[in-house]
Amino acid sequence: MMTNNSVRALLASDRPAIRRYFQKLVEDQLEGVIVGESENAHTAVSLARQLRPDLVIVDCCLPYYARLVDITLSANAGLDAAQAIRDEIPDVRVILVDTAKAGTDEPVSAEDYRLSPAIFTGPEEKPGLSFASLQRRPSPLHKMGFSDICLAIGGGGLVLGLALTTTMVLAFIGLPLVLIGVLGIFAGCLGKVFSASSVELKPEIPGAEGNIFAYEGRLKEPRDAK
Amino acid sequence: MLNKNLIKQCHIFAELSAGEIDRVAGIAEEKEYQAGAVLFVEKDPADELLIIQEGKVALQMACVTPPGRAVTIDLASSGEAIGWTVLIEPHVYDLTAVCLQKTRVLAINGIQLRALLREDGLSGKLMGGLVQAVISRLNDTRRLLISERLWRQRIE
Repeated sequence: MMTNNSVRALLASDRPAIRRYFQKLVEDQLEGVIVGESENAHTAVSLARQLRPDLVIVDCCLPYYARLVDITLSANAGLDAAQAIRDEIPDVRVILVDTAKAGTDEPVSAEDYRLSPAIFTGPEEKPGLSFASLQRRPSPLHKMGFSDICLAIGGGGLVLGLALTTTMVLAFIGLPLVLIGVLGIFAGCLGKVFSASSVELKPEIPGAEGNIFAYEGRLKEPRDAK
Repeated sequence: MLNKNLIKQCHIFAELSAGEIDRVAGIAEEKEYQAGAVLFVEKDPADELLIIQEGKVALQMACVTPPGRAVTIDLASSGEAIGWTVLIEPHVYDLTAVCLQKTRVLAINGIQLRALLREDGLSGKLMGGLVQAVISRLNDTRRLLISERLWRQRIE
């Protein structure tokens, strides 16, 4: 529902799947409204001048006019558009999102992708240019550690072993599987106990709490090396 | 520990021997930048040659008109070197480099590198690699220019 205080957002990407993802972010996290969409840098800047949005989300891989097949450099006008909008529109917040890791045609959903860092952190967000990247969420399999694998194999082995044992005929296979299953579960539980006592959480960037922070890109400043 | 393989795999240093690579590594240091950080600015003194280990950097050139605007003319990613003008008089950066992602680089001190080239006579080996890198960038730009011109002709 649009209210007088809704954040007015302009989206710029030549990929519909990316624009839908941005739209969902704005509507779900900010209760904002989309006032315009553009497929290239040229119209993104024009629309920003006309519409004066509060927020502009720009795909880093935005073409100047059109993405040219096999010409990577044709689709890298996002930074230029973001800087132009930031310079021309007072009090606008511009977020440049690196989408290189998102596919060209596949759908982009919040379940499969995340923005790093999280770009909407609260009402204290300041105007200016911020940077973020769209990354694929690790699949559940990738998140599994050694303990998880032991538990999975142990559990599966135990269930299968019990099932085979009850047939009597295949008990000679089932019993070893039950034993493997029990050992696997035991190893997995031990692993969980030891790893829980030694885990140390570190923020991705010193001073930040997990991934919840925002920072601004600046032009013509001294180098920010660490 | 410095990644010497990265230096070896970089076009500019491809013809150096292992010992020469070690000497270059001795004047390099690793640095890390956040997305949005500026590595160097057009027309500033060129004091470092940077080899990108990880990340992506946009190379921008200032426009004559409108003033104050810059255009991205190239991108550099892992394994590529930027800031070549460290090696070429008047040792002034001809582009502005902005990190599009969190970026790690190997920064090679320009003054020490030029001294190394003079002492060890490595200039010839480096210039060959530098010319290759320049040709590659020039051809990428040419392809873009041709494609965009043909595209504009098709739509008009």
